[in-house]
Amino acid sequence: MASLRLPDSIPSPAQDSERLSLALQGRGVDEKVIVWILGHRNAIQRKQIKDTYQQLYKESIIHRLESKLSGVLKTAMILWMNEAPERDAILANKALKKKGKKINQLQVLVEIACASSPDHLMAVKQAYCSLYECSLEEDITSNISTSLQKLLVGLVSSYRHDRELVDFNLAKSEAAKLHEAIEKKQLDHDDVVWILTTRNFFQLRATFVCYKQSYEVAIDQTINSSGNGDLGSILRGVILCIVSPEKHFAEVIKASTVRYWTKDEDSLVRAIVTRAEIDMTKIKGEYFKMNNTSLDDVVTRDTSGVYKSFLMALIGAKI
Amino acid sequence: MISILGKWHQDDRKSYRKGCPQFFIQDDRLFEKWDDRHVAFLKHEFLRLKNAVVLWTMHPWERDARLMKEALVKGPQAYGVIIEVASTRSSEQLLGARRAYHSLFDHSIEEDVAYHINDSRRKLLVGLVSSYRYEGPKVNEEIAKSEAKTLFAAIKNADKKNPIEDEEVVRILTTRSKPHLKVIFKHYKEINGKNIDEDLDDELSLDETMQCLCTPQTYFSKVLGAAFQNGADEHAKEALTRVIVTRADDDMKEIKEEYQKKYGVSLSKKIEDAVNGNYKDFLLTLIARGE
Repeated sequence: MASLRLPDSIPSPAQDSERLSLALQGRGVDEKVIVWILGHRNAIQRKQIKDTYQQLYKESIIHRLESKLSGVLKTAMILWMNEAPERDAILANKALKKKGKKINQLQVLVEIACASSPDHLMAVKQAYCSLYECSLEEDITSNISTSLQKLLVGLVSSYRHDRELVDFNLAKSEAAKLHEAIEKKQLDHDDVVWILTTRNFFQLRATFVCYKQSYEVAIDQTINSSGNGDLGSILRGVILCIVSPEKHFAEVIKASTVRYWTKDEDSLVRAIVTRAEIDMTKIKGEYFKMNNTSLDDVVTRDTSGVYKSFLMALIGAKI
Repeated sequence: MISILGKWHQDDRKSYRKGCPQFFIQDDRLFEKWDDRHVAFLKHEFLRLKNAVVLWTMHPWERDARLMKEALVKGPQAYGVIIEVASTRSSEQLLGARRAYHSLFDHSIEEDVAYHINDSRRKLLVGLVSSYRYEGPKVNEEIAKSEAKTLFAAIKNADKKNPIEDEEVVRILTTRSKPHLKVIFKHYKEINGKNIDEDLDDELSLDETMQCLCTPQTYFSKVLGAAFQNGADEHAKEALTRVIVTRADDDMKEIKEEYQKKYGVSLSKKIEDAVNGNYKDFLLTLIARGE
């Protein structure tokens, strides 16, 4: 469930645009007003504001925000103001182009492919072609080591069926195929890639349940014990995003923060901005289960200033 | 025809039977019997017309989804149709076909292809049906040059490893944009002196894939040519309906030009000579669209 809270009565997009324009005028910038307005509008309302602002002031509000804001608040606000497909295309591109990237930075590709709907993945790919003049698959090929390409290209190329259709016999036989490949340490076997990248999510969840029933150990634990570094880590991410995206994002947030400071701002922003309107409430529940602390408390403790107010608004702090 | 036939009385029909000894044989038991071969022939002609009309009236997405499913069910000799649909359509057209496939068959096309195909073409076909290519003009010449070399090396190495199963070959063919592929083939010719499809004579599926991606009109005119050949099998003949119906709104003009160049006779003339009845008229009407 979304955590974003909306005020009881929302001003018109024209009124919002006017207040934003005032906040963005002159030498300074009134960050509090920007966060107050935009941090309490849903995706449809933000699009209306964007379109109205463009009509009224002949300028893209995103460009204006880019020129007036700075630091981590800017990063978060720009992501928030882009529509979801463009936002995820930007995140994917950023992750792929980062020099000296670590494996967990590729998580965003797994998240886009496995923690959202097939239609959303398609929209991200369309946005990627428009923004970067090449396909997402091509950029994965140019920027990722060969050993991971097959799985990652497979994940983003798929357009899975989105209905809840499960064939239990198939789940059993595919659990067996996966088991065999993992035992033989062939994590990039074609069968593994095709099963994980083409089957619908409901079918895969059934397959993982069959796996546990047949072999008495969860599939991600088998992958863990088979070693296999980066590929194993990506596969575990795939499985977790399919089975419980809220657990995955709770882990991402946990890994991004350390007592009193945020060591991985990008991941924290990504998790909160991309899930605020999807399942942040569930993520907060998982986070609490994991850490015995509320996410609200951690964000309050580890971030500061207007940036903190923005994140708090997104995770559902009371208006 | 229907308005005439439907009005005939019993006596009219009897005269028709007596008057057409080529269709009706006088039987020992004193009735005029349909010549079996002719019945089969008529059934066949009506069926071809029916298939063409049904295919023509279908939404292009449903059409492509059904064509691919039919090919999967028919087996290895029909897999070329999957290559054809996946490679000659635009990115949005293929995406539409994938959507229709979900609705019609409750699976994604890629999961069915991965599951049901068992030969060396599996990797290539999964990749082709999953592709969503960039469609702009931008091409990176350096990458195209290096990929031409990769393809060249894979083809030269064919006796040790089948290039159709080479992951790099499959990646290039299934993810690169069509303009990029055209530049690769240009560089290939420069490295090798020969066109890539000449080097791939033995590897039919790869050859077809490249033609479909870069010069679809050449591919389609070849398929049409094969449909008219003596001794063409049912699968080859069905291609006549499929190609004309699926390309009538796209590049039929270019296909006709290519056909004329290759076979020295116009496609309409060939259809006039080789095909009969309403089916023939239907095909001729379709290929004349836009003229």
